[in-house]
Formats: sequence, structure tokens, C-alpha cells
Amino acid sequence: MTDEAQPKNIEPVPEWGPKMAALPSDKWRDFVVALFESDGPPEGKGRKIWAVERAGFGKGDGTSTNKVLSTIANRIFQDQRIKAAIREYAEMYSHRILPAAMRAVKHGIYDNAHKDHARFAGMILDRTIPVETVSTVKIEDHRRAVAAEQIERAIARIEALARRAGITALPPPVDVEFAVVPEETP
Amino acid sequence: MTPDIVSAGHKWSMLCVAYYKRLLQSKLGVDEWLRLLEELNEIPDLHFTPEMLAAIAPMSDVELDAVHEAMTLDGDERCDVSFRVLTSSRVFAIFQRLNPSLR
Repeated sequence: MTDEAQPKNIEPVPEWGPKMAALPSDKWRDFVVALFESDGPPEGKGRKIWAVERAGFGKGDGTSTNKVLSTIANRIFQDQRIKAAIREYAEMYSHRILPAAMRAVKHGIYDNAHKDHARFAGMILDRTIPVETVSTVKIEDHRRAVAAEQIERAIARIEALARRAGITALPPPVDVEFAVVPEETP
Repeated sequence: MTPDIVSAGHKWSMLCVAYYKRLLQSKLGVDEWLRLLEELNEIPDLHFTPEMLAAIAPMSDVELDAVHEAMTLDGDERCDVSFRVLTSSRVFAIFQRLNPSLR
């Protein structure tokens, strides 16, 4: 039988994101997945120990005490790689549960007797017809408009006053180039 | 100080100092005296030191006339136009010739 004749595997192969792929082993990845599983005890009631055990940490015969498993869980949680992987998996997971979330909203909207009927309807309205706020900013320039000729006349008058006081030759404007230098530290 | 290196704001401060010192030489009420002294006290900053303030001489009659000439361009209490005129290199150079303590 040639390779072409082999039945092709049509099952999707899990593709981890870069953060999940960067974890040291499948056990670590299974730990992250276990944290998001629906079954198991709730948070604060042994959820981490359950996830560690489920991922295959501890003794293979299941004789590891809860204290040992708790220590393993805490060590894993302190690793930066696991934090990044949890964030990445959570984003992927939110897409996975999106259809269920949309079904729940749809159910809440179509059921007039649902206690959160109005809240669900409001949620959808806020996203489809959001409230618009229009702000008009009016900027006015209150500076007095003075013609260049008026300014020139005033300067000429000042120069005349200076000449009358004996200041005849005025120094030309000095063109200089300078650079900002840091102040000297004491 | 070369006029083109000094910022317009500091040129204005220097002119204000000379102007206020000139006003302090005239007959004023105590409240006006106090107001001018407080204005002078507010002027020094990181670059314009109290020593520089002390070194500036009061304005002469000619300088005073020049300032009033520039102020005729202002329409109200704001000094937008006279600020631009008095702190321009061309006019400030005149004040530096008339009052060497502004250099």
C-alpha cells in the first residue's frame, strides 16, 4: 500500500500558541488546560492541586500528599512562562466559549420573562447603536490685530526717541548659533 | 548678554524690572509701593537671578517714553503687541544702548 492509499487523519491537531509551546513539557501544558476545565473543585477549594494531579505531576501511583502537590503548584505558578501561557490560553479559550455566550444572550433576549432580559437587550443595543457624544470646541483668538505699518511706526518713534537721547548708531542684530548643553553637576 | 540669546520672556522681565524701579522713584501710595515690590520679588527664576535683578538700573525718561509708545499698540490690559515690539532684537538693542545695565 502506498502512502497515498493511507487514510488521511482528518482530526485537527492541537496547535499551541508560542507561549504554550515554550513551556518545558506536555505536563505543564496539561496543567494550563486543566485550570480551564469545567470539572474539578472550584478556586480556593483545591483547584490547583487537582490541576497538578490531573497534569501528571507527583508520584505516578497517586500517593503524593496534597502538601507536596500544593508545593509543586505554587512553584509552577511562580514561573513567568506559565503566566504568559495562561494569558495566551485564556484568550484562545474566550473564543472557544464565544458561541455559548452568544446563545445565552440570545436566549435572554428572546425570553421576555428572563430576569436579565433588559440587561441583555441593553448590552446588544450598546454595541450596535452606541450613544454618541458630540463636543463642539470653539477657539477664538482675542489678540488685538495690529497692522505691520502701525508696529513699524511705533518702532520708528522709539528709534527717534533714542536718537534724540544721543543714541545714533544702533548695533545690528547678532546672528548666533547655539546649542543646549547639560548643566554642570556640582 | 547678547540680545538674540536672551529669551523674549527674560527680555520682558529685564524691562519690567527697569520699569518698576523707575515707578518706585515716583510718588506712590503705600499699597502701590507694596504691589510693585511684590511684582519685583516674583520676577527672579532659575536663570534670572536676584543679583541680576539688583544690577538693573531704573529706566530713564527716554526709555519710559519708548515703553509708553509701544504700549499704545495694545488695545486693552493685555500687552501682546507691546511685548512683541519691546522684546524684538531691534528694539531691545535700543534699550541696551540707553540702559547699559540691560546688557
